[in-house]
Amino acid sequence: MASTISLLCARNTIRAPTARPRCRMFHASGASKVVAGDKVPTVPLYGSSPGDEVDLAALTKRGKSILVFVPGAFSPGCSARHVPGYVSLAPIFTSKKGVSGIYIISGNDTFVMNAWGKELGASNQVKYLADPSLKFISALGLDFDATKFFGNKRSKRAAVLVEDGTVTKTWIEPDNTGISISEAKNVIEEL
Amino acid sequence: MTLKAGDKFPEGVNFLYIAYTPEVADVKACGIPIPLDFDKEFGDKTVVIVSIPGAFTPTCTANHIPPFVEKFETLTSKGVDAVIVLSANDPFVQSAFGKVNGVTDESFIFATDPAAEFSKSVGLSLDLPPAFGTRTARYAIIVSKGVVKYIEKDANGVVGSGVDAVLAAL
Repeated sequence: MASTISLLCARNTIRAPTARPRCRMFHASGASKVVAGDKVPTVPLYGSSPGDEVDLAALTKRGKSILVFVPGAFSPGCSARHVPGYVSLAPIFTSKKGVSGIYIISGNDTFVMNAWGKELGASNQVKYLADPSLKFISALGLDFDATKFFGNKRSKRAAVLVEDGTVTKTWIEPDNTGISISEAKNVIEEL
Repeated sequence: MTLKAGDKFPEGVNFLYIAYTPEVADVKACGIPIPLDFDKEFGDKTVVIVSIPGAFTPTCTANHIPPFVEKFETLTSKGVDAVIVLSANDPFVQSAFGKVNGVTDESFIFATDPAAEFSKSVGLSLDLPPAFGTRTARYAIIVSKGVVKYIEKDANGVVGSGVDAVLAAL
């Protein structure tokens, strides 16, 4: 094991032989869970169509944004309570808390996200973004195995506050799919 | 595709779906996904499987599925016991798609082919990364008592997989 590591880290150890190898060890589980201080990934999301790439890191570089992560469009908690909460409180987020954008993100494709947004109410303040390959979601360590109901990995339910491009606060549901701390009416109190 | 008319339909095929009930009629309400055991449910019946690359996508929504909804009575009068609309979208999305298409009949099922597994196994899947992934191709199959009677795949548009072609084959 040690010899394999030194082989992988050869370049770094040659540069600083006495220091610990700087290379990252491969983590089978992917990125660790997002925390305050992290940057928004530069991985593209998708907006109005599969060809419409959205650079959320660029969009959230200035000002306050809320990223809302959900396991799946049209699924129980998401449709009935979680996202509607953000849609109805969006004007308060904007006028009273200085939030310039609320982004709903899920592992569905753009057609599904747009259809869902139409049912729930998209607006200038609430945008629906697709992460079909789950690259953005797993870069933030928010993916979990949802095969039983969804057939693949999905995002944990969470809300993330981004200020000037950096994560400043996170509300990640401890059981992945419940609705408690990441509910809009709770998040808005803590801004 | 590796399946053709006259072949036995593969055994052990399972889809996932949410059964329609009046309680979950609103698009924003949802039931729980359960397995659809093809052999058990349809082993001795006549079923039309219509596969679409994506729920809520342009062609599927505008051209492909609505005609099946409109002509469902004609299909059943010609001996079809059930229509299954299949895609790789998850069961919640498929269920919502069914509601949006105004389908409330329990023999008109919107189901999921998880990870397009079944479709891939018979050479009927499509790889459309990065924003779409592996999907089920656009196709229609008539299965009667476990035997494939008709199978057509459309590379562009809706032709062999459309309701008129299926009706003509019944």
